[in-house]
Amino acid sequence: MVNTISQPKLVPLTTLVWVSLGLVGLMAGFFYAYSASVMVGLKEVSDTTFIETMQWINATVRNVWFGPAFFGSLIVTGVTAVIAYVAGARKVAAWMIAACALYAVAFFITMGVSVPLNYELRDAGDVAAIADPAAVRADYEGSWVRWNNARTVVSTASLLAVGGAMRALGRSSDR
Amino acid sequence: MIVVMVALIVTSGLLAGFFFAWWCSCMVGLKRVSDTTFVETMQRINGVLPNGRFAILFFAPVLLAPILVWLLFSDGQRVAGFWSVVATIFSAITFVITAGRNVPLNNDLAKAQLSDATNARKAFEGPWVRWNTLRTLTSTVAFVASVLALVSRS
Repeated sequence: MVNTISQPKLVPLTTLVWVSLGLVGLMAGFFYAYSASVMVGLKEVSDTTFIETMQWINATVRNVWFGPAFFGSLIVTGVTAVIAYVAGARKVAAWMIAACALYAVAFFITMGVSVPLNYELRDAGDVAAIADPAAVRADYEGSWVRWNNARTVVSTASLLAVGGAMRALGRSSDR
Repeated sequence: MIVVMVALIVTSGLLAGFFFAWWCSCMVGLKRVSDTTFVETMQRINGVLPNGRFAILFFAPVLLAPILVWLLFSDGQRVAGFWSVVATIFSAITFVITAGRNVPLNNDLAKAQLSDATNARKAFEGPWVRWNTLRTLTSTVAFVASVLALVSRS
C-alpha cells in the first residue's frame, strides 16, 4: 500500500475531478443539443422565425444555470490540474491539463466567434422591421453552426480527458 | 468492459447535457417568442429530431447500462455492479418519460395548425417543460451513477 498522495490533499482533488466531470459533461451535451437538434430543426423554419428564436435564445442564455457551467468548466478544470500537479498526482494532472486545454478551445470559440455573431444578430433589431431577413440569416447561420459543431467535438474530447483523470485518480488511491 | 464503461459515461453525460440545454436555454428563450414562432420552431425541431446523431445518444445509455450490470456482476464486482443498476434504472426512467410524455406531446403539436398556435402552445409548453425538467434530473443521476460504477471498480 504505497500511496504517493497524502490523504488530506486527495479528498479535495477527488471532489474537484467530480465537479469537473459534471460541468464539462453538461457543457458538451449543451453544445451537442444545439448541433444535433436545435439548429437542425431551425434550418427548416422561415427566416423571421429563425431570427426571432435565436435572438431570444441568445438574450436569455446568460442565466444562473448556464453561467456556472460555462465559466465553471474552464476554471474548475484548470484549478484541478494545478492541485493535482502540486499533490504529485502526475497522471491526473496530465489528463486535467488536456481537459482544460480542450475545453478552453470551446470557450474561446464561443467568445471569439459565436458571441460576436450573436451580437450582430441582436443588432439587426426587431425582426418585424428587418428589411432583408434572408441576408441577416445567411450571415449568421452557416458560421454559427460550423463553429458550434467544432465546440461540440472539443468539449466531448474534454469530457473524455476528465474520465481519464478519474480513472488515474482511482488507481492512485487504491494502490 | 472498460470500453462499455467509457461509452456509457460519454453517452449518458451528453444526454444529460442535452436535456440541460433544453431546460436552461432553448425553452427559456422560446418562452419569449410569439405563439406562431414557438409552434413552427418546435414542430420543425421535433420533425428532424429522430435523426441518427440523436438516436445513438438516446438509446445508448439504456442499452449499455444493463450490459454493464451483467459484465460487472459476472466479474464479482458488487459495488460497481450496484451503481450500474442505479444507472440502468435512471436511464430507463429517462427513456420512459421521453417516450411516454414528451413524444406524445410532440405528436399532438405536430398535428396543430399555425392558425391555432395559441391553443396548441398552451397545451404543449407547460407539461413539456415540466417533464423535460424531470428528465434532466433523472439523466444526470444516471450519468453520476455510471461514473460511480467506473470509480468503484476494483
